[in-house]
Amino acid sequence: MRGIIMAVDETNFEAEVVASPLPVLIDFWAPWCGPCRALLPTIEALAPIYAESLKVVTINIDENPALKDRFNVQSIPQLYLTQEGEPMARLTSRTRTQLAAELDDILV
Amino acid sequence: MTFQAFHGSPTVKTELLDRVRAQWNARALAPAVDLHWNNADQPDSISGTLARTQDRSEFEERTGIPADLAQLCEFLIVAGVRQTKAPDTAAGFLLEGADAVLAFGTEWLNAIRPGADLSLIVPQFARYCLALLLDPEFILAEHVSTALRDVGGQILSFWDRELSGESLARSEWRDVQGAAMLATASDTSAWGYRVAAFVEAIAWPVKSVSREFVGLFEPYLFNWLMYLETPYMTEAERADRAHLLLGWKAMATAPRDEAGKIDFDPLESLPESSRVMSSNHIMQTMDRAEAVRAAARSRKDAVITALMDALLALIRSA
Repeated sequence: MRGIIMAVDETNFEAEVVASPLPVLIDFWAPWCGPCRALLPTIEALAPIYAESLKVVTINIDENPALKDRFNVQSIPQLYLTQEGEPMARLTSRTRTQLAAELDDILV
Repeated sequence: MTFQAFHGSPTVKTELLDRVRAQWNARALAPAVDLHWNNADQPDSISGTLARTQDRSEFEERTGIPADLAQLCEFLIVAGVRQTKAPDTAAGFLLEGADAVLAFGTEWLNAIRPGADLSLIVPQFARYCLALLLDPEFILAEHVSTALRDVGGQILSFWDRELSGESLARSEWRDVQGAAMLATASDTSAWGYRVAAFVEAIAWPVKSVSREFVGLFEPYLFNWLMYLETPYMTEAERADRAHLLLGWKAMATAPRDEAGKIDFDPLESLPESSRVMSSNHIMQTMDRAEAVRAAARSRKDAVITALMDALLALIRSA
C-alpha cells in the first residue's frame, strides 16, 4: 500500500505534482513528528480508494524547506489538495471517514 | 503480501524467539507501538528485537508476521504496564505490571504456529472489539447512543459479509460512513465521544482497517480504562472527570487556522472543563488521581488480559 504513495522532493516536485494530470494530495510531514506518524496509516488507507482520481504524495519538510515555504506550512501534519501545483484546499480532518467526506465534496 | 509465520519453520521460530525471551524476562525490552531496534533514543521493543529492524517491511519479510499484529500485541502490553526511567539500571528503565500482562510479551509469539497465515488476525480482533462494544452488557453501553448502536450494527454486518468473501460497493459504505459521522456529531455524552469517534473511524472494510487499527483503538481503550476508575471516585470527582472529557473533546474538535492554532478559546463556554484542565487543579488532585488509578488497577488488568486472551485465541486458531 505504501508503494502508491510517492515521496516528493524539490527535485521532482514539478514532474510529480505540477505536471500531474490528477489532483495531488500532499502530506507535509517530518520524521520527528508523532502526529504525522499517526496520520500515515490513514493516508496509506485513503490512497488506494482514490487511486483513479487522486495522486497522494508526502513531502518531508526538513529536507524540503523551499516546498515548506511555498505552501506556507507552519505546522505539521498538514494536508493540501493541489491542482497543477496550486493549493485547492487544506484538509483539516484527521480520520479516514472524515477525510473521505472532505475529498468527496471537493472532487465531485 | 502472503504471510507464512516464521516461514513455516519451527527452527526459525526458535531462533527468533531466543532473541527476545531472555531479554524480555530480564525486563530489558520496552514494549512500544512502533518498532524500536538499535535506536539511540529508544530502548529496543519486543518486535524490533525479534526481527532486528525498525522497518515494517523488513519485519514482515524476516518473521512472516504482519507488522499490524505485532503493533497490536505490543500496544496491549503498553496499555497494561508502567514504564519509568531508571538511569541506574542496566536497561535504563523499569517496567511494572501484572504478571499476566507481562507474560503476554512472549505468549503471543509462542502461540504462533510456524506457517500460519496471520493476515486476518487484526481484522478478526477488530470485529471482536466492535461486537463487544455493541453488547448491551458492555460497561460503557449506557454511553452508546441508539444512532451509534445502529451504525455499529451495520458495520458489523458489513464486516461479516466481507469476512465471508463478499465484496461491498463503495456506495454502501458511504451511507454507513455518513450515518456514523452524524451519530458522532450528535453525541453529547462525555464518555460517549471517544466511543463514537472510534466507531466512525472504523466504518470501512475491515481488512483495510488493519493498518490503522491500533491508532484508532488506543484512545477508545484509554477512555474505557479511565471509565473503570469511576467507581473509586467521589460524586464530585466523577463530575470533574466528565468535565475533563468534554474539555478534551472541545479542544480536539475546535477549528484550527493555517498554523494549526485554535483562534478562540474552546473552553470559554465550558468553565467547569476549564477549571478541571487547569494546571492548578491537576496539581491539587494528583495524589488522589494516583490513588484512584491504583484502586482501579486490577479491573483494568482484567480488561487488558481479556483482550489479550481473545487475541491469543485468534492467533492459535490461525
